[in-house]
Amino acid sequence: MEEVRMPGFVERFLKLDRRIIYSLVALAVALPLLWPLKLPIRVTPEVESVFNTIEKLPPGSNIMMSADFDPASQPELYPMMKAVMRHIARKNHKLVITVLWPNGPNLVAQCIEELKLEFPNWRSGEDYAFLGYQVGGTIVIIGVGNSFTDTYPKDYYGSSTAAMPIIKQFNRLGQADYMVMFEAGNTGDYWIVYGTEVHDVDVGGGVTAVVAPLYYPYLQAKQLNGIIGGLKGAAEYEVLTKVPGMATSAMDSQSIVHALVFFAIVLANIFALVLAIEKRRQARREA
Amino acid sequence: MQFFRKQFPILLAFAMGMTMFIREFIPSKLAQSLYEGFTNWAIVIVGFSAIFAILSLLRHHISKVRRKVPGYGFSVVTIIAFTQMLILGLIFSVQPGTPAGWEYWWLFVPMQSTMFATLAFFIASAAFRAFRARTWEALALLVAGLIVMIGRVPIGEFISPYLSDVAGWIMNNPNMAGFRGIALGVALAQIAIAVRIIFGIERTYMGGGD
Repeated sequence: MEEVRMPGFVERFLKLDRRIIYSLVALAVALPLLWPLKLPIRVTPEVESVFNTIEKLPPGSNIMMSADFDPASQPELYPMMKAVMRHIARKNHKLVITVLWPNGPNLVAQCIEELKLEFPNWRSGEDYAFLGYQVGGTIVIIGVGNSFTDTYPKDYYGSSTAAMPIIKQFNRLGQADYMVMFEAGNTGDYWIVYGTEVHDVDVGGGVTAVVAPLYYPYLQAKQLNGIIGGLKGAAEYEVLTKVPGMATSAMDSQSIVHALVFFAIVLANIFALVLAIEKRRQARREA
Repeated sequence: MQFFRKQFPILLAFAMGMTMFIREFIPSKLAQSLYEGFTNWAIVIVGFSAIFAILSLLRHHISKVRRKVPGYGFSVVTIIAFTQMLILGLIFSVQPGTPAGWEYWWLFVPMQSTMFATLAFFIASAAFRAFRARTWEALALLVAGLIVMIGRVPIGEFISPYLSDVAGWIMNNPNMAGFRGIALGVALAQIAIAVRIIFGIERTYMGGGD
């Protein structure tokens, strides 16, 4: 069969060199960072729900947090973790933080250091306890349901957890008034199954955009009371706390890249359709 | 010896599995303390298994270097990186401000973030080439994907506020239904596997070979 003659532009577009696509993506990321468009950020009910829960708790309430991610997901999850922790510190809630991913603790430690500049009186052992990483995954989740001190005899900084004033009032997951988990994978599934459902604790999830679809079934079943999804979710939380940060400034870039990929896919499909029609016509002519 | 290699692990799995299962239905202090004790045991056992995993990883790479298999240079880098991080971590701890903390922040974090960031370029190129509506099912997937992609960022909301609502509907309904089906399937499979392990039908956890 004779090779199909494609219209010149269609041919060139469908065979577009990947380096051109890479360059366009790079420009789409960089230019809005240099010249922000300041597109409005609309807050979704899923994010607002997490914010409202923390906002409405009486000051001094116990909040549990698990940061289960590593530097690969830092650009998405770090800004939302910082925004949520800022909100918790601002409301004077008591916070206990665990990490179930081995490369995650330093990210939390950095976040605490940054927040201490904003809240100089926010003290380890009194206002928050950063328990760090413990090997074991689901076993640790079951363990913190029994006792923080048994599962984490020492905190991230090496201090005895049993001696901490915060642990005297908040020593197991069941004593939490709310939990927020930041997830780059499916560890959140285990928190829900072995932790929050067993101990009847409301939980909100901050998750990467790529795993967000996994967590929607929990949202409708009310096993999650809110989802902060991806960088957009982080930007929404920053809007709610009225402290714009990295997520807000990156929103324009993300918008332009999404729009670029959107139009590239649509055009590629239109041109592929044109090509298919042309092929069919040619086959008919040959017949 | 044969008893300890074959029958004993099955008996142990049966005894532990049944104990933990029955415990769920006994609301007594003894049952609770048993549960807490077993949980602490499990943390210790998992800790040991992590040490075994590290030793196994090292043995694998040392063997590659000894045999000089193609690409053994990567194994050399792995061994050096692991050993120096272990030594620095044990001497100075791994917190920010320590040498291991410095390596974490100024080597590990940028490298891992870069690896992940390059995905944006690959995905854009792959989506352009491969995301084609060749069938009606593929068209449905394509339309749903495009709406969610554009509706979940501010520019979508800027174009039309309805785009965000439609994207939300897709996530909360068709997506949720699909994932719920998968979750239920996985849960049922986990129950089946647990029952098979407790009753000694599933023995692959004991390792291969004789």
